[in-house]
Order: sequence, then structure tokens, then C-alpha cells
Amino acid sequence: MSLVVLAEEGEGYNPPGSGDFKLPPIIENLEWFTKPYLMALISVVILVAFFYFAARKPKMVPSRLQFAGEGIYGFVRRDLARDIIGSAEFMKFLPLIFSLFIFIALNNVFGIIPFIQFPTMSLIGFPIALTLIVWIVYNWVGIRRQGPIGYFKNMMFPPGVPSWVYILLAPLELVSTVFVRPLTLSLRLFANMFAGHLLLIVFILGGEYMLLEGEGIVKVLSIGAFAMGIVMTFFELLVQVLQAYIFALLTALYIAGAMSEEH
Amino acid sequence: MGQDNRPHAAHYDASADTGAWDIVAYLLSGMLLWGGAGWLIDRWLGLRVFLPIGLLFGTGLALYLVYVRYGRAPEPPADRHDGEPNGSSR
Repeated sequence: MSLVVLAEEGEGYNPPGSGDFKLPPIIENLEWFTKPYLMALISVVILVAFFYFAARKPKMVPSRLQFAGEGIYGFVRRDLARDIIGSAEFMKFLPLIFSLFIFIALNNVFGIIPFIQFPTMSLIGFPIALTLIVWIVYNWVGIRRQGPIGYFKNMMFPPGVPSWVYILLAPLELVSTVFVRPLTLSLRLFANMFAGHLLLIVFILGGEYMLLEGEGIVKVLSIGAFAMGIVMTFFELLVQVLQAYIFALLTALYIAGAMSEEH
Repeated sequence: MGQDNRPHAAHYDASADTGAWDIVAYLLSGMLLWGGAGWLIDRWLGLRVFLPIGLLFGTGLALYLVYVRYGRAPEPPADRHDGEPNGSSR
């Protein structure tokens, strides 16, 4: 109902918590339209504009913008799509993998860009939605490629095991591929962004509180908190890009696995 | 169309790579599935022993599954069905 409960600032220090992720709506009476939704929309505009202008007039000697765009695209194309899915078929899946990578990367990096400073993916709904797309794609590819029976047969019955063991192993394989894979995929992204943002809040707002409310030595010690905040900000940049990379990497791996389950 | 043996080599790497990432999924599934079964039996019989048994059993089974999928030495290339025109037998 009312998400604005946390507006009542208590006396003393408010330790950061999950309440910090419940943002009030931007426009009144539009409960769902909060800052992260706006950020997700803006990120799409930014990405479209960036890659549109980077690819608009390609030259042999690339401009700085074209060089940056081609660098990102080439990296995803080479290292994520082609090397994993194989040069015969990776082009079909490159749009998905590339979009996932840049969308997640930018929305994660929003977490440390001044004045935005909120990673969109720290709200679990976003990773779940992206994971749902990936889940549908790799299962669909598997069923298309191996037939519905062949797909589940290859998934659930690894060769070279005494047949009575399949009673124990088959449900495990099914649960793992169909349920736990998407679970870990979305939770990994969510939890990294959630924890990272919380960490930054602790150091920076904690430092602010020490500086403004503390007395004597505590004021001085706030320097340490701010220094940690800066260090963790750079560390977060690493984590944010890395998590986008891992998400795209696993998407490619799952698709490749579904295409060739026979070992 | 240039390199014919490239996708095949990439295949092999992909399955090995997925293995590294899937170990967590297997372990979690094992614990969820068999731990869950143990928990249900506990609820049914009013006992407390089957949950830990199920958890351990599921973890063991998951480890065995990881071994079956990825741990064994690759089988001799005789059973590769898609015939590579050259160089499959070195």
C-alpha cells in the first residue's frame, strides 16, 4: 500500500535495510512508476542512441564513438556468442545476448553514477523478467532442436549410469535444469546488486552521519568511512560489469547446451 | 563457411564450461529435492531425522551427478556420430 512509510526519519542513526529499496512513486497516484522503472526506460534510450550514433557512419578509421561501440559489440560477438555457441549458429542468438549484456551492464552501473546511484537490478523483478526470457529461449531451443522427448531424455538420462540409478538422478536433473538454473541466474544478479548498493549506503551515509552528528574524534573518523565508500564504489564498478558479463555468458552457455545435449 | 572444425571444438568447451557453473545448480537441486522429500516424511511421521538424511543424500547424489556429467574422462571418439571428414582419428 503506502511505500512512503520510511519517510518518517527517526532520531539518531537509521541503519540501512531493505526499506532503502522501496522508492516512492515519481508521479502521484502512479504507484508502480518509481525511479528504477524510469531508469530502465532511460537506459534503453541511452543504449539505442549510443549504438545508433556509433554505427551511423562507419569509417575505415573509426571515430572515438564508433571505436567504443565496435569494441563492446565485437567483444560480445567474439567472446560470448561465437566462441560458446559456435560460428555456425551464433548469429541467431547474438541480438539477445548482446542486448542482455548492455542492458544489464548499464543498469548496474547506474548504481555508481552520481545523482542516479541506484542499480536497477537490485529490485528482484528486473532480474526475474530477464531470466524468464532466457529460460524460455533455452528451453525452446532445446525442444526445437532435439524434439520434446529427446530434449528431456537427454537432459534427464545422462549416459553410462546403471539404469536403476536413473530413478534417483532423473528428477534431480529435471529440477536442476528447469527450476534451479533460472533461480540461481536471477538471484545471483539480484543479490550482487542488492548487497553492493547496501554496502555503499553503509559507508557513505554512515560517514555522513558521523561527520554531521558525531563529536570530536568521531567526526575525524568519518574520513575513513568516506574513503571506504570511494574504494567500494570502484569495486562495485567491477562487480557490476562482471555480473552483466556472467549473465550474458550463462545465457550463451545454456543455449549452447540446449543445442547439443548429447555428450 | 570457412572453418569447418571450429563449431565442433567450441561445442566441447561449452559443455565443460556449463559444468563449472552447473555444479551449484546441481547441489542446490539435490538438497531441495531430497531434503524436501525428507522434510515431508518428517511432517508425515512426526519425526526429525529424515530432513538431514535427505539433505545429505541429495548432496551426495548431486556430487555423483556432477561426476557422471563432467568428471569422467571423455569417452573415445568412436561414438561421435557426426562424421568429421578428416582428422577425427588424428
